[in-house]
Amino acid sequence: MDLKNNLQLKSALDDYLYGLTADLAPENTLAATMVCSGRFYRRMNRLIRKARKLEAKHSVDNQSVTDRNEKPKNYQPVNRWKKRFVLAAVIITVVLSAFSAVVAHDKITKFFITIYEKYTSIVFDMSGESAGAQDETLTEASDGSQAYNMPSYIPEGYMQTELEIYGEHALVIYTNSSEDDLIFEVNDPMNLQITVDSENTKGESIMIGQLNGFYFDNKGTQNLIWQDSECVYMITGQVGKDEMIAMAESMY
Amino acid sequence: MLSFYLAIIDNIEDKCKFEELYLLYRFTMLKAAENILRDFSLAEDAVHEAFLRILSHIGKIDEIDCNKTRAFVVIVVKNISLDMLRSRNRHPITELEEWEELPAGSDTDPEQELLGKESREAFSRALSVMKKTYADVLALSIVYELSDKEIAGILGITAANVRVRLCRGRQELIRNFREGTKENGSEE
Repeated sequence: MDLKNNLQLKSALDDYLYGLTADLAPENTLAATMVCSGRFYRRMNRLIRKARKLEAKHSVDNQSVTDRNEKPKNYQPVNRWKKRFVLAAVIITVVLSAFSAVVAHDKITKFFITIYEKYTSIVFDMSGESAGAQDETLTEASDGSQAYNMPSYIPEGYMQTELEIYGEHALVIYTNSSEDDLIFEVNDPMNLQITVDSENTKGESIMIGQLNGFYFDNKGTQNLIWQDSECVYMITGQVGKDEMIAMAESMY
Repeated sequence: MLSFYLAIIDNIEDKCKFEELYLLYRFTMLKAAENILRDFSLAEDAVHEAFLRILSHIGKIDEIDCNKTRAFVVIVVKNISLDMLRSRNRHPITELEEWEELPAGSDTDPEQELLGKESREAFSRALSVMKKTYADVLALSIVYELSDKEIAGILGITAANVRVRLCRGRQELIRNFREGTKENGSEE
């Protein structure tokens, strides 16, 4: 007898599940009686941002598979050609700027900005030479943790409140007295893809010293992304473009 | 130039599935955790941990606004809260305590045939007196159709421990049936 296919047991388990929540008041009622801490909301906001990134990445993967295998149901040839043209133009622009940077750097780094219908995806790549260089720099510190290059300049009023290191990804959170977060992320550039919510976004390419970077302001939150021969860095917060660039430049 | 390109891009979906889940069940989860932990600050930690685990298995959730999903998030946060309570009381149930050799050949056990003859009410009676940790694992396995590995990730235990709980849950279900049958027989 296979319990998994026993319909009577399934029905009884449904009753059991209903019983689990029966003694809990409806969400609206509970919301009126509970006040969560700022710390809880901050942590949950970070988790939601992470979830958005993961779901957007999942959408990108699915769209890539769809594009390869079949035409989507709402297939529009004109729109598709427009996107191809834009994509080609962006790639040419970014690659040309990457080649100009080669003059100043002996290691080649580049990233491609791919524009899809609903979002923007930034894919980072490294040449074999710089990938080797990365192995040299992402070495383990004496305490076993990864040693990362961190900014020496932090905007006034901000203090480091959290440090999370998982795998080859590091996340540092600086918080000010108003509980605004300034997030500094370090990522391994190998196969890294950052998906950007591009609603009402105006972006611009900028230089951090002699490195190519990309800055954009989205719904009052500023973001700065750049890559050196070792890692991809991203700063997210509400401190303004100049402060972000100052933070980035303080690392070199 | 990039601003021009970005200006023509449409926007991303307003809310992701995870966010909808959070907005719909955060206070329910906080209440479920607080009922166990009796400490709102710890309940917040439990809910955060629960959402972290749920995020890893978000693909398993189809419909957000239904009792099945509400029960799922409550199971996750209750189990985390119980773990936190155990470690706070310094009486953790270790993997070793729960570990036991699995009995072999359970699928061909004649006692299993008994289960096929029972009604939904009899199952409900048996589940109502069963240890909650076993009933939860049975529900996650049978109703939510999660694998041992997925249940392990959700509950923060090993897959081997999940198999032990499933096995014990099944044994307890059978034992409860026997006792229920005896009681019914004596009443008649």
